[in-house]
Amino acid sequence: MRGWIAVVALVVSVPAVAAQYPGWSDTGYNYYHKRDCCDAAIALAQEDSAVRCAASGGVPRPRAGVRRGSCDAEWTTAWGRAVFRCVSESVVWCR
Amino acid sequence: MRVRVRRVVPVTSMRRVGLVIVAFLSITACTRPPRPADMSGFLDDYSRLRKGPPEGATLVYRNPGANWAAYDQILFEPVTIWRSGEHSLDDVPEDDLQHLAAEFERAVQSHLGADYRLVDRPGQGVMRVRLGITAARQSDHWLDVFEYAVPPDESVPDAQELASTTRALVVAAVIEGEFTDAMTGELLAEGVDRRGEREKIRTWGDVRSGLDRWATWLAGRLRQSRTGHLP
Repeated sequence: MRGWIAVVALVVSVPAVAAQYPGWSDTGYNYYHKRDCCDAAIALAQEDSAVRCAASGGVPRPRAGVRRGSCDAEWTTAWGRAVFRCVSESVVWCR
Repeated sequence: MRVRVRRVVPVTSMRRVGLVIVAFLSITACTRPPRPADMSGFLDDYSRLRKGPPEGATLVYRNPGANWAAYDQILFEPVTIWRSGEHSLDDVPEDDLQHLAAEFERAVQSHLGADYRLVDRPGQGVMRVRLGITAARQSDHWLDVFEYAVPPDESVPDAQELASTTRALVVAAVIEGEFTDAMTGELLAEGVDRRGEREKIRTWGDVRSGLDRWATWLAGRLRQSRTGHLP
């Protein structure tokens, strides 16, 4: 019986170890450069991912110096120049 | 019965027409800016770019008022990799993305470091350099971004072959760069470059030597700009 409990506990705990929690962000129309807009959006999405990881009992382990994620930029014109809004999805390591 | 008479255009005339078309296309290619939708969006304004000279970047803009001699320091932004499509970089091993960004940074810093002091904050006489490896089009909605600010501990042996997914990225990519005054943000130059026979790249040694050649060329162009000898 104890053996079964141990196996069940192991199986249940494995997804928690390997779990990933995608984070999302939306910058609003706040950036004049697409590059800066995507950078900011990805940084925010990484933070969101870390918060979701911590909220689920994990420990976020972002890789030092790495900024990685997907970014969807759209733009409008304000005061004669393009202003960007970026939506991003990113995942940080979670243990 | 009617006989169809087909007018035969002499080959020489056809050649002449062909030459005129080629000449026209060459002229318009030199004078027309690239279609922004076909570019990645890494640079802020592609409308200023024009086809570069044979020894220059593929597409280039140089601010005619830039005082290149006023700059003796460089502030490097981390190298960024952009690829069209959500999760489009997922199939490239993360270590490879790190090595690609790091090798590019190493090549450029080592070649430009001979002429410029490398600094980490804006100041008088500081030029900000932003470089990207891009395989993206603005017309594609999603973009995958990788940026790496810390060099990896170990380098990859020259003889090691590139993973097929890494090679596909390298072959498809272009280099984009922007040079601005770090204090005022004034644009000094920007360009998109795609030179060399990418299809021949097989190993990390090929990548390294390609990036070194590119960095040597860039250092030479900046040296010529500083001394006023850029053709």
